[in-house]
Amino acid sequence: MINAIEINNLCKKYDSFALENISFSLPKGYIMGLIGPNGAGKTTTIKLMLNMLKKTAGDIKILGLDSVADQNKIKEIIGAVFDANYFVQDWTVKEVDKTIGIFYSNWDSEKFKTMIQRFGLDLNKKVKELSRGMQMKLMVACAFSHDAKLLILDEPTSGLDPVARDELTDLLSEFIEDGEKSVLFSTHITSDLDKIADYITFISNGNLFYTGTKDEFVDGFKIVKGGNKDITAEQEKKIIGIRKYSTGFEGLIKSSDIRNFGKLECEAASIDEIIVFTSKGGKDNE
Amino acid sequence: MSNIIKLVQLDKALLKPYYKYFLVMIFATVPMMFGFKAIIPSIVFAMSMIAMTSNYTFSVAEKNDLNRLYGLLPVSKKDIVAGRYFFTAIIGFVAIAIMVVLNLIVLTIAKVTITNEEVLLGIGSGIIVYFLFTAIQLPGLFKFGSLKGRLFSFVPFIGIFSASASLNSIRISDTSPSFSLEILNSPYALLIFAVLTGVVLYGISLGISQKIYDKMEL
Repeated sequence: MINAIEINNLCKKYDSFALENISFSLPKGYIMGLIGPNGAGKTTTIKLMLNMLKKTAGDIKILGLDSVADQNKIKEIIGAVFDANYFVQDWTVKEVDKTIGIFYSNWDSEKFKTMIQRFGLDLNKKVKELSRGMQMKLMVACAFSHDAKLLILDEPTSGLDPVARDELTDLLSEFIEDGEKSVLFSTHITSDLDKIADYITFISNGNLFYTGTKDEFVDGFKIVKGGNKDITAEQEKKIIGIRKYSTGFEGLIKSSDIRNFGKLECEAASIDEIIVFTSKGGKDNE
Repeated sequence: MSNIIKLVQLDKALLKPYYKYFLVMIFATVPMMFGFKAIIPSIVFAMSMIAMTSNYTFSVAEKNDLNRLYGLLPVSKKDIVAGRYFFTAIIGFVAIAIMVVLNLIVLTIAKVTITNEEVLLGIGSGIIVYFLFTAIQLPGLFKFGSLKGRLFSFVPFIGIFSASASLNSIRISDTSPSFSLEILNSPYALLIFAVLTGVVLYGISLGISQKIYDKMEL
């Protein structure tokens, strides 16, 4: 079966930052969360996938097509939602349909209008008059209108209220319903991923920290807690990231290391905690 | 529909907020037409003014951060550049047509007789001036954008000054054949020469811009 995304040893070098040997794949019909702290390389990865940046090395295949050689074919079948809209502020919603639609061979204007109606958008309203949530919905409507097979979202929920975020996650679940469409969702708001992601790819400081199922990711780490004197130097070496207080500490460990922390209190780690602690410790799970 | 035509339509949509400025600019040249009382300097002046608007599409794209949109559309970078050139050329031809009509009206009102040769020479000079200036401007705008590259927007001032300073008195009746190549003494031949010059200038400029834009990361 062809994967929706197949990335192998992707590298991009800048003077002050390098994305190194990123490899991950997303099977069709699933949602993958792309996570990591600011500056980790998430947007760079997405821009490389869209061929907006030139890769230094590696291969990117989207739905079996090469990201460079077949870029026009790929762009026909992907949709994107960014943190800010990418239309001219003075265009009306109707003009977005008219102007963007001509670029896609399978653009369905009727479907666009149906989506716009469903989202409660006004066709005659200018893009700049729409709220952030509405602008996000407009980008989603465009992706739905050309029957995108892969939806790429780069921080789409930043600045959105919980209601708008909930609507988006519902839309994404609906999007992948037929099992043929997939979503790559880069976000800081990991509670959105808790709800809908099947896979997680975690990039930290330009390096791949984890890629795999969300359940394995969450089950793979534990939070260990205790007093200052409860932890030995040997145990501290096993901790991926640690936060120390005057009275004690809490740290992130691999679930496989739990036997080394016998008497200490261990609990499940959230995606947020995994991101925070790994960026504190910065240790790679390789 | 070819990608270039689609991109021309996109550029047309980008310029929508600027339509009123184009109209103002076109009608602002009318008093100059009365002043020049000759079609050639009037058209050279007007087309230089119009050439100064070639940064508008870059300006809208920059203001609205459209690089992401360009990066998402199923078109190549070469097509994006070619579409911009095609659109700029269309603006030039439409502007020349309007300027010729306006000049004919103004000169008729001013009771100045005008020959077909003068009209052809006016069109020819307008084409050369517009295509020369925009061929210089566009690579600079692709390289630096409309803000950093705004210096390129002022290149057509050369044409405005030339029209004002030296061409004021040029009339076809005052000039005798002066080109060593006999064919160029025909206004028809000059018009063809102007169009060919425009094509060559745009060909060179387009190649440079495509190389610049291809190296850019969006």
